[in-house]
Amino acid sequence: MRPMRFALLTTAMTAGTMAAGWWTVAVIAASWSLLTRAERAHHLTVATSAALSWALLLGVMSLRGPVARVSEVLGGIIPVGTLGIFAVTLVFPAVLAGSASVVTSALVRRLPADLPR
Amino acid sequence: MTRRGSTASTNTTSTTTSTATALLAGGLLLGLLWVGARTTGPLPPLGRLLDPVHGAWALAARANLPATESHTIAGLSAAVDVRFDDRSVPHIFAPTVADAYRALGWVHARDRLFQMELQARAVAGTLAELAGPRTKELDREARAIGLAWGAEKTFAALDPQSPAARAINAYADGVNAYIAQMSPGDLPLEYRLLGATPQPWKPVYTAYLQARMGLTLAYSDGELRREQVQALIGKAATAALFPVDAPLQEPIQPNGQHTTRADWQRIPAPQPASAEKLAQALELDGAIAKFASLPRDAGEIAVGSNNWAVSPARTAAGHALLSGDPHLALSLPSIWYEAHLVVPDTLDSYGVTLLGSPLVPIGFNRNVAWTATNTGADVADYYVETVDNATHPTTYKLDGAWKPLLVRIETVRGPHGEPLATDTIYHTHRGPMVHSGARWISRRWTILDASVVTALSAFGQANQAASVSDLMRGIATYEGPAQNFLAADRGGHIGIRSTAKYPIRPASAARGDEIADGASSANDWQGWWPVSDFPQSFDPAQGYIASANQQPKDPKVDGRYFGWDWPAPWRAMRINALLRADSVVTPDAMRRYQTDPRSAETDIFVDAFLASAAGSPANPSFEQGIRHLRKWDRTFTKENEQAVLFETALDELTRRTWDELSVTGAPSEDRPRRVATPNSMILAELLQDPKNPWWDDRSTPSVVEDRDMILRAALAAAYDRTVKTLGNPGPAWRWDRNRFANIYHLLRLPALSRLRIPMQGGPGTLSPSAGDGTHGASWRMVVELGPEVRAWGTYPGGQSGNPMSARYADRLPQWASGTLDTLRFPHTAAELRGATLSSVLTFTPGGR
Repeated sequence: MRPMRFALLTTAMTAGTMAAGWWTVAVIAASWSLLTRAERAHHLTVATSAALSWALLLGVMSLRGPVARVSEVLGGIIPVGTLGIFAVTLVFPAVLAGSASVVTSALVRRLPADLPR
Repeated sequence: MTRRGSTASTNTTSTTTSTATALLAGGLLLGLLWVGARTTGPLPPLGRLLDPVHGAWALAARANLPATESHTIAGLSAAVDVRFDDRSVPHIFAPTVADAYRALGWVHARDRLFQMELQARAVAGTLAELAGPRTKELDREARAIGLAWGAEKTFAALDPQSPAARAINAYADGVNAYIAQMSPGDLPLEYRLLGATPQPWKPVYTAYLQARMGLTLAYSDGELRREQVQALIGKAATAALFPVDAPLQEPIQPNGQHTTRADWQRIPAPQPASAEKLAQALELDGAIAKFASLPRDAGEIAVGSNNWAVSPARTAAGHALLSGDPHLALSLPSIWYEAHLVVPDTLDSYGVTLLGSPLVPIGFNRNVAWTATNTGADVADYYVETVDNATHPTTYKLDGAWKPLLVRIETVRGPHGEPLATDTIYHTHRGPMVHSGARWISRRWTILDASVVTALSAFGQANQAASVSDLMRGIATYEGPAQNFLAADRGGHIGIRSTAKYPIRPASAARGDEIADGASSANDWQGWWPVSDFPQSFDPAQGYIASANQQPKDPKVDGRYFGWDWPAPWRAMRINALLRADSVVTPDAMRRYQTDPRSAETDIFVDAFLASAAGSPANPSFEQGIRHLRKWDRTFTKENEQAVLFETALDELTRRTWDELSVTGAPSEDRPRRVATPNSMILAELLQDPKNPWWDDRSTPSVVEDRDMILRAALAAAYDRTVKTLGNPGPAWRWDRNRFANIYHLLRLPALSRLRIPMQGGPGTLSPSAGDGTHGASWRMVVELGPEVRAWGTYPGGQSGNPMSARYADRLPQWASGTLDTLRFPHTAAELRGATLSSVLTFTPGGR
């Protein structure tokens, strides 16, 4: 995936999360795969894009308040530890977006051949 | 053929792999969407929780107060200015009292919304709708007790135009204005963990809160436990172990004595009842559990409130001083929220508020300071009822006639409205009944009758009082839970009154410590004590007044029944000793007294242990124990290395002495359990009688032990136990390594709790730190009533309920060290500026 496309996807995921919430990463990943007919290598990129978009949002949040304190509390509740909760927060959208991308690609491949590809 | 077949096979394999991958991904996707949106087992909805914008991470942005913000509240008469000082205390400057309550409701909701809803649901029996089936039994219990039923009944009788109703409604307007304005990012963490959202605040919840305080402070199942004890040891011994009058007299209402009076009596030997009677008595376990989920025998919980006031003649500056030190179960967020309400020419009141109520129950204004301790009067009586059908009763017998039972059908529901349990609750005219073995037992309890109106009116008048007498006049109508209200004013007056609705019992059953026959209305309450008969004292000659939950009136002054099994007066004895010895009391001395490390109890018991050494046969453990007690300075300071041995020795002594009160319980209970434990004042009474049969240890039938033998055995066992647990004497024995305050979050999540906080103080000290450490000083306040009122205070927690905020538990270190903050008490909003001002919140009329 070219850098511009990656940036566009990451921006869309960031905007989607901001506007409507966590589940939009799956919707955007699926839409992206549908539009681009993504191949296998692209699923990892989609997942990376989702993780990066949430990392960016966490970065913005850290400017507005004590994110480290949040990680301490959440990491104690879940309980995966302070660093673990950051990892979980980034892995969750990545797996969500990646699996949505894989499922969409598989469905696309089963579309009739005369549909534009 | 072979190659084509191979290619086809490869394609098939590839397609199969691809399909399997897609199916796996589909399963993963559906699984993530499910756990992202729904609570799954112990996991909260992960997507909603981890979302960096709308999830728990967003709470970081709510951790600090914004420098300025403005909102609307419908119904405001004009703008309200709220200034948060550098301790995050809101100072609410409002044009009317109702506007001040609206603003307070909004601020309470912003800082403590989950706590407010949880408290209301605990009373209503709807916790399971929020937290799921695991809280079903708590809900069933709450509904069986009938707290919400009682609160709704009294609330329905409230005149909507009364000041109390207007206050409750204005407060609810403020709470609901906040809920309506919440964005997804504002949702408190606990709701996110439970996958829930806040429900609108109903005005009746304020009445629920009052009822809940009644359960905490005025609940008693003593008659039920007493019947069990009587079956075990007989009536005479029960009366001595759980007496109506405390054998150590240090009453709240001064009795003219200058020291504690000991009314020691001989404790009769145990006389067990028949096995049949004992079995019937033990069936009461069911009723005890159904009426309330209190510990079966909490023993002498290290809890209790203190308050005292000193007249100007005995203070260094010549101004009256007041100390408020209420002790409660500790929690995070704290039960209290500090606030200052200002309405020009009407209200200027500062103190701690209860979440869910607009008033200041403990605090001060420009003229008066007030505080309270729990009275512990007997305001609940139990009756055995005669019913028409033992399993499905419809009527009960009263004075020979059958009366219909009131029937409540209570259904506990889960988060999706699904029914989890349905119970039928029967009421006589006295209150709810429970089935206990073959008997039906009802309870009359003032808390189910207590009107929220009177509590609100009383505190409303206290908040605006101009003097002690003014305050006491206003608060005289307060119905419960019974409190020892103490006040001091700028005119130099001090006063205390134990206030509530106290039942007048019939002459035939003048005491409320035994279960009465419900078939006769002659056993019902006859009316209420007049205020003039309440325990009280104003400007006593001794120049100070103190209360610490002890028996309020000396029975030699007034012998009427008021309650029984009063807590040992160790704290009262210590406060009074400190105040007698200090005729130039300063605010700082008042502060130091709040965490004074000495206990009146230790002197009696350490002396007894030491005396038991005379002529004793050699026992190395006992000798070691004595050596340590001899060098103990009898304080419970953090660094003390002997206090832990004393506490263990007292525990061993209690266990060995009261073995006659133990029964072998159900097969699930691995060892005998004590039905009830006399408090340490009774143990002190027994010390006066060295040959009393109670000293005999039943587990050694061949030996008849006396006092000194048991004291020696207890100390030796305590020494061995301490060495076994902590190793040889040394730093591991330090008090601060063994006794802690443990402050749990409302959901008992360790990550949100603060545990193992080292504290000064032990059993019987003014700031007890013993047992499981879950009770303690919930608010400490010292007020000096000079020309300008000055005050200091703190509580264990912080103003914010957001665990991500630095304001969540910022006061804990100070609370643990026994120091207090200076409380800012500005006359005008403009006085808070610069470093003393942290946030400005403006409310304007508008919205729905």
